[in-house]
Amino acid sequence: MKIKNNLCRIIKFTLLPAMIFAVFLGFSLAPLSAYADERPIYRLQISPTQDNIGTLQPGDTHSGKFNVQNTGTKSYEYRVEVMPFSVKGTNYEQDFETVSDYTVMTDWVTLSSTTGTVDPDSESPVSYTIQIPDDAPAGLQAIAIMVTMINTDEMQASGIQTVSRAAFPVYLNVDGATRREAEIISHTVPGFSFAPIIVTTSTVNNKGNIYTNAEYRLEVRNFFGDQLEYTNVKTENGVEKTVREVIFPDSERYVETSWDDAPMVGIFKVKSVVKIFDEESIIEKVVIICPLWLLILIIVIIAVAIFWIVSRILKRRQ
Amino acid sequence: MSKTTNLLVALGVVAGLGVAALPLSAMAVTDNNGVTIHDGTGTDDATNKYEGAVDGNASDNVTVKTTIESALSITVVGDDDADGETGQKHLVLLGDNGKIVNGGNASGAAKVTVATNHLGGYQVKMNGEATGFNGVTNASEKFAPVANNTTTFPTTGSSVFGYQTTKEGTVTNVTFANENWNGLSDTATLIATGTKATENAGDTFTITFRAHASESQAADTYDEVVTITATTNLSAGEGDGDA
Repeated sequence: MKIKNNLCRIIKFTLLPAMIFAVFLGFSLAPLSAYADERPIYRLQISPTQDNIGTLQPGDTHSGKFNVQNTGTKSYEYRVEVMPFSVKGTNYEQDFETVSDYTVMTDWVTLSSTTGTVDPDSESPVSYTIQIPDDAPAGLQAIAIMVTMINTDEMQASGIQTVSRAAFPVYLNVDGATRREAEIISHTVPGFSFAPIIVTTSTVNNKGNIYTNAEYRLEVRNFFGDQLEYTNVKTENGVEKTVREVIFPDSERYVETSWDDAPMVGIFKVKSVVKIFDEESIIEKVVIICPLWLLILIIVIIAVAIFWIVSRILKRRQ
Repeated sequence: MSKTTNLLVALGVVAGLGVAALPLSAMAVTDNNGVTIHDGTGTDDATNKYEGAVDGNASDNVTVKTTIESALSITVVGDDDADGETGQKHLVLLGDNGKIVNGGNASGAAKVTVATNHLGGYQVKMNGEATGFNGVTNASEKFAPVANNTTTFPTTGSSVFGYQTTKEGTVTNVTFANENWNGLSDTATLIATGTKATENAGDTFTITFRAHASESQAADTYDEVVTITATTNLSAGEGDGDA
């Protein structure tokens, strides 16, 4: 009888909760209807998002294309126009108004159409042709092709009517009397990090008259085993591919490269390389990652240990 | 044991057997002709023309390939967009049904969602019209832009109009140029940046527009068209050479 009662108690207090858990688990594992984000009525999309053409000769012709896509639920009309394109500040805020010697390409561009309509789940191509004059000045030329969703609604009360627009930057170098000059103004690798991330920073100055792709390499190795923990260099078909950022002439650009998935604690050997034209900066440094609370704890433990040792020594002397 | 306990024990056993039985249903594969293809273990049916090979495997390779290019999208939904697919869209009314009281404040908001797979992230800029927030009937009647970086929107004094950006939910990729109230310029002004590709359905943030009408502001309907532009950050991506 006693055994039977004990068995009942066991079932009540262990199996019962386990079964209730199993029921809830079963419900959670049951296939749920797939949740899909609700599609907006109007969504303006372009693809690809920019055209990094490279170097062309005076007299050359370049044709390009991007698509205006509709991933909303209703058709919309759009218009296309060409605007100057430049950057300002070290964070490369884009500028669609400033006219300069680097934006005369606005006069060289012909668009296949300046308006269009795109239905849901379809796309409309926008083709552009750039005819470079024979006497084109050497150096960077940049424009932005703007796609603006046309809104025909009329305001009937006090308020704001919003208009969606997407910009497609197009940039190239015209060959000729080009200058390749640069300066790496700053390049830092912090020796200590409280957060599980290693960030290197740099600012480069392109003093030439052509745009270039600066290279940024980051390599992190374990301090004790020298094994490679992280690199932003990828190898595809035997070719190394590094992270590159576009640097316009007469501009400075601030860039961060980082290892975002670093462990909470560790000691690493970090190698950071920044290269622009013929200028190169290499930093190799030991970096310690340790959260602040752990650092404080270690300091406290060391302080307590020192206090204990000193007090023992003093006690013995007495 | 009580009857209730017995019942629960029985249900638990049944549930356990049910969960254990789930994977078994996935082992048999049926082709388009409804013929079951065995995986080769056990005895293959010699009369089945889809019989597996001697090693027990019946398989073939199919290459599935697609290309996804970089893309950038922008969606703007006004607080006062009409429901469904008909009616006015892209609309933000200030105040109750677009009515601003003299001496009072009125506001409205638009949600902006930017989505891109471009690794370098994006920028969002915004500009108003050269005419500003002005009267429809009398264009010379205007609301002046509020001073940039205003922490508390004015509730007294002359008529002013401005905007403020705030994050939606737990989005972390968005950084605002200025989180206080700012005046709207007719030159495209940076309002938000994302430093990397967006996740899932994109990065969403809210632009709140607000107006304060002075006691003597002329009666009229006041409006402005605001253009919100998205673009990807300049990035050469991954490559093996110079420009």
